[in-house]
Amino acid sequence: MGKKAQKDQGGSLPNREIFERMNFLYQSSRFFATLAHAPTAEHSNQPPTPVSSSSTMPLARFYMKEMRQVARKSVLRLSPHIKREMCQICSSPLVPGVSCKKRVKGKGNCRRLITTCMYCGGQKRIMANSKPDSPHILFVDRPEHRTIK
Amino acid sequence: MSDSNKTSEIGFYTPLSETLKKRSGGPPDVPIDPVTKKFTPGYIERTVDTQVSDIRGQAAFRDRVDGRELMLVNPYREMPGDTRGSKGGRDKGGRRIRRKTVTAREKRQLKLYDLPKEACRYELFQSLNLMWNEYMEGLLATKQMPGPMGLFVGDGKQRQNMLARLVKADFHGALLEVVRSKCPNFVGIKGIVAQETKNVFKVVTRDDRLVVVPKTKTVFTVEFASGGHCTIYGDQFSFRASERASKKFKPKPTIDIN
Repeated sequence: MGKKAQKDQGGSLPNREIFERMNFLYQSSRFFATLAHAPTAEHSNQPPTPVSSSSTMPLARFYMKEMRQVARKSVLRLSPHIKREMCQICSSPLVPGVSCKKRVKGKGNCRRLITTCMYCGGQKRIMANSKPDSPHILFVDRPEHRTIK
Repeated sequence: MSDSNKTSEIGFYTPLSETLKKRSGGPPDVPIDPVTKKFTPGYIERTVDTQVSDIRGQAAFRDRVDGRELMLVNPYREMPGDTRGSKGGRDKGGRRIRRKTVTAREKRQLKLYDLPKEACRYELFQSLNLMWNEYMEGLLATKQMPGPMGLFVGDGKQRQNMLARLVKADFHGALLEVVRSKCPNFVGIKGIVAQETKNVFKVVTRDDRLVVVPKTKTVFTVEFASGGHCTIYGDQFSFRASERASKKFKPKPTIDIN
């Protein structure tokens, strides 16, 4: 899941049901954001018209927004990986090429990876200075903070 | 030729003729107090209508106007650093401001959360329903009884636990059927929940229709894939889906829909 940011006490997770709910919302959102064609059902008579993710994006956005609100209400943290895939302003799931543009800007020490949401124009800027042999590891990803096995 | 002669005769600075004044209801003759050479006190005295305020004449000028500063321009609105309501701009220090929220107007204009017609395909939502069933299986599983059957078979205590989990669960993608409703049009609507808001379930039916079903005065049934169903009383459920996750429910007096 990767949603936790704190150390775990025993084997049980205190807010397990809420995490499961957020997980479900996240997966549903991703599903609608990355659609290429509509799945054909056995009983449908018409030829399948492709449903692209651009028309289901409002739904994907709605689920992301729900997920964020659930987290906010229960005061739970979202993993930074999930936050990076979500537009902060309109809660769209950011899929490169489909719903966002990723560009690397800047030179030398000021290189940034800029992700621009195609729907609201909101931007995320992440530093992209690290060298290939020593990449920047997020706090959550560091081995000493491993929580769920 | 004669016209231009006339205009030059009349001239730019000659006072308005009497006919013109009468016709336009022109500016009243401006009587200036001969002693103080001031216009305002006399004007207020004349124009303040005693029906509007109880203050008359000189008192009106003395109490309400004399010595007060009148703002003809709102300095706060026109300050150069004021970027309230603008999409992005600069703050007082000259730094670029980045908006962090979507306004309600933008939400409506960009139609950020409305589902378009092409997307209301029941087949799509069947896939969502599959995911929902898996989610439910995981949620309602216990050590003794994996799968949602724990809800229906277990003893009282376990059942309470399961019901509590259900109340906090998410219903997007659930197969919902309207069993009873105050408005008979809604009874019998069966479909998969696309969106859930504070008052309403937006459901996609088998014939690709998006139906908006209000929660109040309505009783729903949720069907699980492994059989079995549970009843939802809409009146008790009229909260935002995200709020339900952390809400303590207070029972309402009746479950009657009337």
